[in-house]
Amino acid sequence: MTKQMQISLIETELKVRIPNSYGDFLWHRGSGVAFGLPILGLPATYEFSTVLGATSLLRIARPECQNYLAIRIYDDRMLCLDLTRGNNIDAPLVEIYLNSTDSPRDLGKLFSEYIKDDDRTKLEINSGLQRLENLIDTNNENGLQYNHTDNSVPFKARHWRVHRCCVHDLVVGLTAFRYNENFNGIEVDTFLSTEHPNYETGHGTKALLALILADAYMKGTSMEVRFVANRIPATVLSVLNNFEIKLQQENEGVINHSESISIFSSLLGIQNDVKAIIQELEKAKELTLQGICFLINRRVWAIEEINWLIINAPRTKAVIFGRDNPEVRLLYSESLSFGRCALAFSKLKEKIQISSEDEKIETQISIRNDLFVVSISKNCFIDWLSEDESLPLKLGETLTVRSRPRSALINIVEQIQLDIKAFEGLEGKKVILYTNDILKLPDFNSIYLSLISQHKLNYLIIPVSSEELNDEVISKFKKARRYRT
Amino acid sequence: MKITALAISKTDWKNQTISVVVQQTKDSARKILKGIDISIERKRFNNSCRILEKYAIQKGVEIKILEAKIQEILDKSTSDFSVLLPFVELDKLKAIKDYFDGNENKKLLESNAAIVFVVDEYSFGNININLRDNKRPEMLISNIHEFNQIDTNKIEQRRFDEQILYALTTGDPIGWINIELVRQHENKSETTESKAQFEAQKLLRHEGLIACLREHVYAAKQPTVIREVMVDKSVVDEEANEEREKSFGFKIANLFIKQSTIMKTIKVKQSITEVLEIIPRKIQFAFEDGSISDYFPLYSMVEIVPNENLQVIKVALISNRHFELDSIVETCIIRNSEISRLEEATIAQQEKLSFEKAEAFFTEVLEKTQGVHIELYHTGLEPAVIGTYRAFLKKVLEKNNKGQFYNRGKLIITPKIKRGEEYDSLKKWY
Repeated sequence: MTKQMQISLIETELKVRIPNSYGDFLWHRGSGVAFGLPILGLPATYEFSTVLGATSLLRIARPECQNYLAIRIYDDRMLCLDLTRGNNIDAPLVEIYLNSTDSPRDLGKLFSEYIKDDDRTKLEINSGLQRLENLIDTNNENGLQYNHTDNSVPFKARHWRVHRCCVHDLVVGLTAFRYNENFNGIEVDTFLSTEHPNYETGHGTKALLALILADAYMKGTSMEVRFVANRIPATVLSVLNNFEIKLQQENEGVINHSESISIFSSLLGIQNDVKAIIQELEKAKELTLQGICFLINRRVWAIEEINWLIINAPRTKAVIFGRDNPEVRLLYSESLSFGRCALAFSKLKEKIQISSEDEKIETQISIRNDLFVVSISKNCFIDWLSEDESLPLKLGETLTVRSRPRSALINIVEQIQLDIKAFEGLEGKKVILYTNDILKLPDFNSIYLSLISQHKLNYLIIPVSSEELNDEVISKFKKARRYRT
Repeated sequence: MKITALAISKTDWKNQTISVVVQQTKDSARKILKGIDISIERKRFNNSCRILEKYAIQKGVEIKILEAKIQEILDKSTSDFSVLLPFVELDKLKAIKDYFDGNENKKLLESNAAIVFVVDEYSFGNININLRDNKRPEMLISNIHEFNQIDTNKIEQRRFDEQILYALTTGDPIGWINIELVRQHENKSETTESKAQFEAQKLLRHEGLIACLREHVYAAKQPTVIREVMVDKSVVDEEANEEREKSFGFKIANLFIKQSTIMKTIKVKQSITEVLEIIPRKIQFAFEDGSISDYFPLYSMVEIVPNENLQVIKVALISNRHFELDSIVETCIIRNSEISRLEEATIAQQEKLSFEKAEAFFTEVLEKTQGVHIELYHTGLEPAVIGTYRAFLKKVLEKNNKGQFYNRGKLIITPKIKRGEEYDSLKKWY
């Protein structure tokens, strides 16, 4: 059967008119790949790897979606041509979820534009890959090669280094950069990024940018980034546009020092009020915003931990950068206690995220004084109440958490009264977070339950001790102290 | 910070387990101070403190002391800048009467042996732990005001040289990167002038470290000072002579023997040039982990002619790093395992250990020889390099009772740096 006959067969079977743009694609390519993911097409069979099979599946799963052509299946999502809004020439692209009744999500692009973008990107990618290959060959000729057997890394900052970013087995970014001593910054040769369908738009670009900026910080250069072709990649500009960052030297392919820091902090999601505090600390020569970003990038601290510590910890630098030594016991104890607070909340966040068996629950966290405010994407239960009870959390409800993993159980009544006072005037669910050390208090029930229940509060008990949390905090301190502030 | 003070009774403090824990805490603190097995000792110190605190919370009795008093006690306890034990033993707390009034004092001493301090978690009080760190002012006290002009074509060395000069003039430690300069750069508008200024000031890594430092070791000349002093001067005493000439006896005597002129001593001002002892310009290094080294003395002596007839020994800086050196060198200054054992220590502590090892090495060779020329094969690791050359300077700058450098001329180091397959010699240090 010729291609034309197969195209006619698809139209007849599905009772639709295929727009010219997709018809040409079928005629010339049959099927293909765009942005690393398949575009379904011929042959005209009912297998799910063809447009005919996929569209039939869509019609069975979503009978109301009759006028769509499914051209990609990814998990329970389908990329479709929306024939209801298209014409004979072209059709817009939409995304349809098979297991949901939501209306199709418009992707803001016609099929022909999508294919053109892909063709252009392919050209860029091929030329970029060629450049990367050349750089790797040159490095090899100079004896510079990663040796995975003995983990030796012969590259110095000034050598061209090729890096890749992967998310869940997919390569989302490739780049090559080096430290250039002539302008004391990072010079980027190739910057190729793509998307992982399960993550937010632009995350490949964000991952690469974070990688480059972290390297700039680690190598001790200024944070200035220059692209060799004097052109900032469109994907980068698109990300910067979302952050509302305008570059002064965009036409010269330069992101200057301060712009880079601003990008770095936006990439990692540092709260604006936290940034203001960091700026004050910078003036006092305590720490730098890029230093903080670097620690988050290296996963020494999570973003909400940093946000909380910046607002609440005394001697911020000592706690975040692990500068206190155990031999100065009192300072060290204080740092540990604040580190423990931040970490205990992270444990609660992880608990919330996995509390639903079928899918991960997304959390949105903000910091209000010394309280964590959490909103969730789905109803769930947290079984950290005492006596096998669970705390129900509803979608749309805010959970306000005061993290207090106490180690030294002294002046306890006074302390709990302060804990209760911190929630005054707040709505929603309110909890105090303790470690299981609190259960060792002989009069725990009488003191706590009466005080807490009077004020409509709950307490959650993390199933670990303060000592166990301390160990984790100590390992964070060890990692953090290796880096400059 | 808010602190609770818990008094521990004599009986409880003498409890066998606690005695061991207290001793362990003190031993670990001592070892940490000396840089011995820092990683393990920190764990031990931490564990012992934890046990003590728990014990104090269980057995101790809270004593109400004003924050100001606690502050005073803690300030006294931080006599050493890097260790603070979480307890004070009352019999060792000098002048206890300064902290407590008569009755309290008596009551406290009668039954208690120690006070354990526990941090009130998440409470904000007024207590500050003040570690002693007043280093910077000392760095700028020197009588050397002129710096050597270095002519180097190598861009890295030139920049490092600028970094040294910056540290010498401001007292800021030399760092991996000078964050302050980056900040200044950031705050300036991107004019050509400001860019050029930044380009000129920006700082580099420690590559070429020893070659650059060597150029700033010797002062061009011994510092001098011109002083005006009052000195005795003998002048003709006109008045006395005139008076004498009036007398008959003088005239007769002068006829037979010419009488000498009467002189008198007066005080006059005179300028004298005094040669001063050199007060070195000290710099510090800020390492990647934010730790700061001890002082490295530059411009600490004037140059002399090196003794070329000293016995030569070939020495590697750290063992086990470059195996090809094994057939070249006779010994190593630092064992690789000693440095590696300090993996949890700060880089400044690694530098300190290298300094101590190198100092011991130089002392030993000087005791056993009449002088020695060391060809020092570098094996990397910046803190070790800095520590070793700091030890060299300390050794050659040692003075005897008469204020003379008794090791000068007896110790020469020729740095050997690997370039390609060969080792090149850098300028000698002597």
